[in-house]
Amino acid sequence: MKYYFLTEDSEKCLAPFFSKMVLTASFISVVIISIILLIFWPRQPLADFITVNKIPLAFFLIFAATLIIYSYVNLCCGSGDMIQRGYHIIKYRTDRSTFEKEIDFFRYGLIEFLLHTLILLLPFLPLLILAASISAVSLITFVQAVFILYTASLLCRMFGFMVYLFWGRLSTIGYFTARAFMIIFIFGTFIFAPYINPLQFLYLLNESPDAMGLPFVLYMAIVMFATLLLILTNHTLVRRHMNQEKTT
Amino acid sequence: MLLKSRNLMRQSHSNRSKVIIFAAALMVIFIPLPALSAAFSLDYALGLGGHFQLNTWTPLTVVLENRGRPTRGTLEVIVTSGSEYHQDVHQSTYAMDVDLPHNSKKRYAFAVMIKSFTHELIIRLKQNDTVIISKSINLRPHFTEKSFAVVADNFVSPDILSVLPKALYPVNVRPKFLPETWYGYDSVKLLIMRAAALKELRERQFQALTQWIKQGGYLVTTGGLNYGSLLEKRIQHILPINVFGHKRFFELKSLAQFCSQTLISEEPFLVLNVRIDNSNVLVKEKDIPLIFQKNLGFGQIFFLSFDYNTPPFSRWEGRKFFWDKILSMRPLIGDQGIVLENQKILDSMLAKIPVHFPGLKSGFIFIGMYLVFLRYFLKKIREPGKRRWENGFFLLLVITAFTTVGYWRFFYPNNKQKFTYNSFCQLDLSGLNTPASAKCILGLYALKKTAYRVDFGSFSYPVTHVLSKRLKKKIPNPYVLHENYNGLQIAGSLEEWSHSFYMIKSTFDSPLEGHALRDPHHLTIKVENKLPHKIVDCLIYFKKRFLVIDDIPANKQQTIKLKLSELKKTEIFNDHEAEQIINRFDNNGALSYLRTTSEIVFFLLGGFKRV
Repeated sequence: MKYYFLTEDSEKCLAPFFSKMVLTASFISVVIISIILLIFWPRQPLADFITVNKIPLAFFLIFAATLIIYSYVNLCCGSGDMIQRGYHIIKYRTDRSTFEKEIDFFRYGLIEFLLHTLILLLPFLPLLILAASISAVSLITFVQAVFILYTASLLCRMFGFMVYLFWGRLSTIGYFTARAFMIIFIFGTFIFAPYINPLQFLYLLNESPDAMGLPFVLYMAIVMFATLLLILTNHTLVRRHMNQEKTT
Repeated sequence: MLLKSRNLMRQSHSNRSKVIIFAAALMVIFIPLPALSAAFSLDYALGLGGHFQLNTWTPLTVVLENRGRPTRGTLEVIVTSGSEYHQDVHQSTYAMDVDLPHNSKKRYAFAVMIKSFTHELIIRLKQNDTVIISKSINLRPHFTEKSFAVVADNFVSPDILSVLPKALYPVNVRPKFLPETWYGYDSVKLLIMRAAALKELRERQFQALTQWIKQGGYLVTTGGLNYGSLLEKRIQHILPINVFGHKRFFELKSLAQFCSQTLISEEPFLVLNVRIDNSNVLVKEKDIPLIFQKNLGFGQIFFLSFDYNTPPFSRWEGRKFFWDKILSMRPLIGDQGIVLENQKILDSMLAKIPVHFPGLKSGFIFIGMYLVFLRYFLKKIREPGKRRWENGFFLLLVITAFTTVGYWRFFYPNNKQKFTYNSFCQLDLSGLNTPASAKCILGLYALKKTAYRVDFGSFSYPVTHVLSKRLKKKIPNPYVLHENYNGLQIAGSLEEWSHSFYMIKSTFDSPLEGHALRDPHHLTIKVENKLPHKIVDCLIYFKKRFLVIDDIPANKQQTIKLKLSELKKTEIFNDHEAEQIINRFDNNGALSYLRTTSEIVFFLLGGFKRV
């Protein structure tokens, strides 16, 4: 099996790891988070927070900002917005089949998505650890929060890919459906399903990290289950596409 | 049919046996609980003669009897303070480890601070988390707003309480219920007890009494006819008395000098002829001293050569005047030192918490450098070819390096310092060879939920919490004052990003000693620091002047020699200067004090333990 996403930057790859677009998006994301971190860096002494029994929110704010940006980048990668604009795309303005559609999902797309989501998270780590040090959260809480970022972004990526498989890369419905999902998952769940709202969870981790054992397991279970469903759906859709290709 | 009925019978048999087994199991589960509590009985003696003064430390004696199996547990006294209206209802728990063998009866003495009579006081015996026996006390009938005049004796003349000064609340207390800590006498202004009653005291009670007198307490005692108790070693230690027998009198006219009333009796009565070392004789009758005054620390002991509990004194009409006069001679201890508001001290301590946020400057440099490296390698990695993998590896290396640096430079130090403390101690010395009165505040700070234990060693201190006015929350973080075989401990817990302050007011042996020597031209001042810690910015107050003596190292002395002509030129200390000194605690000047005194308090208290 050849992993084209590692070696090719062509328009046949949905989100090639080393493409200019993906790397630029990744760098801009890190710059944005750096600016936010410097803006929210506490100007008051630590004693002022202890005096009034207030917990600095730097951890929550930085992780929340990272969650939104990182999930969005992954959503775009999944839905084909990060595709390399090659000759075909510029000339014909039509979709071209990608390797992700043509190769079995379990053997290609899933591995790519798991790996790429992880790689995209790595550049944020030094900034995240800085934010965690300001709020003085424990290493376990930090790891929990990083898991939340990873799983939430993976879910967004899987959904983005499902939208791409359904409507293609250029569909307006697909464009809005993918973003609507992200808004509902990151913000909307706060109203109707707060226990799976990643923002609320990050806030709680900032406020009382010790009380997060069971809610964390519940959150992870629900999000992983949703991701699993999307994986199966994507697999089915890729299979169908492969069969259609064979018959034509 | 027969088979069916047999089956039915067998079934009913098996059902019945199931019911019996179930009932037996229930009995096994439920019987031990009441049986366990039935084996214990709990009795108590609250306050002094059943009364206590609000906002003072009050003795509480709990007697536990165990007629069942040997038990080890914790005896807890829960005092609830605050009001629902102010939303500051909170509980203070005083605990003691108990060990009750089979058929045993033990007495446990507490000193508790009661601030409100509206809530019940709870005494309970716990084994692990199970309450074995519990008793609630309605405090309303027990409280008084007056301080106490205590007559500690098993037998007293019936009307003695009625002639004691009206300004005080007179009570009779059996000696065995007297406090075992010096601050248990907090509400006592006058303690009257015969030497025989002193002899009855348990060692801890006697030590507590001695300590209380040294800290400003006031004891009036007498030998009575049987003066054997006076010769007991521990009594001799505080009252070095020599007895020369009895003397017979019909009247004590000299008492008129003392309280403007003469004691005349138709029957003859005996007066003890004694001498007490280092004491003042206040009243004498025919060269026989009647009333002695002996200083002990900040307090005083009055010794009466006659027995106040027997005739003719117990029937004397001048008794009321006599006790009024006695009370008027009580040692008065004012605030001699600089009075510092607690809030000012707390603010200074909070300003000097030994943990900090990572500096913005270092954060900025870190982020800037990271972005430069990241940008460089991301650009490099775009270029296709063999170098891409190499650059990819370097990029990973950069991310790993910055994450590691971020962890060790920023994350780890703050994570390590999740619980920290500092302290402030103000010592007031009133003269040579007198104890130093101290106000110590201990500040505990946590960035994460933490359980802690502060060990005070074997000596008991009156520990109270102090709340910062800057805090919205009006109740303290939960804590228990736990007394066990090792001594007193504060066991408590702190929430994330919170603090707790504890205050101890006590007296200590003075850690400083100063001597001044003057010759015709010079003044030599020598100050000795007996502390195991350095004193910084030491100033000496001498002849209404502050003289700078600089730092004094631990266990060392510092000597300065001044020309008298120069001394006269030194500005005399005035209110303005006093204000300047106080202001130093508000401004940065407080920092040097805090640095030094934190070590002093640590030394005095014994040590800390994080659990």
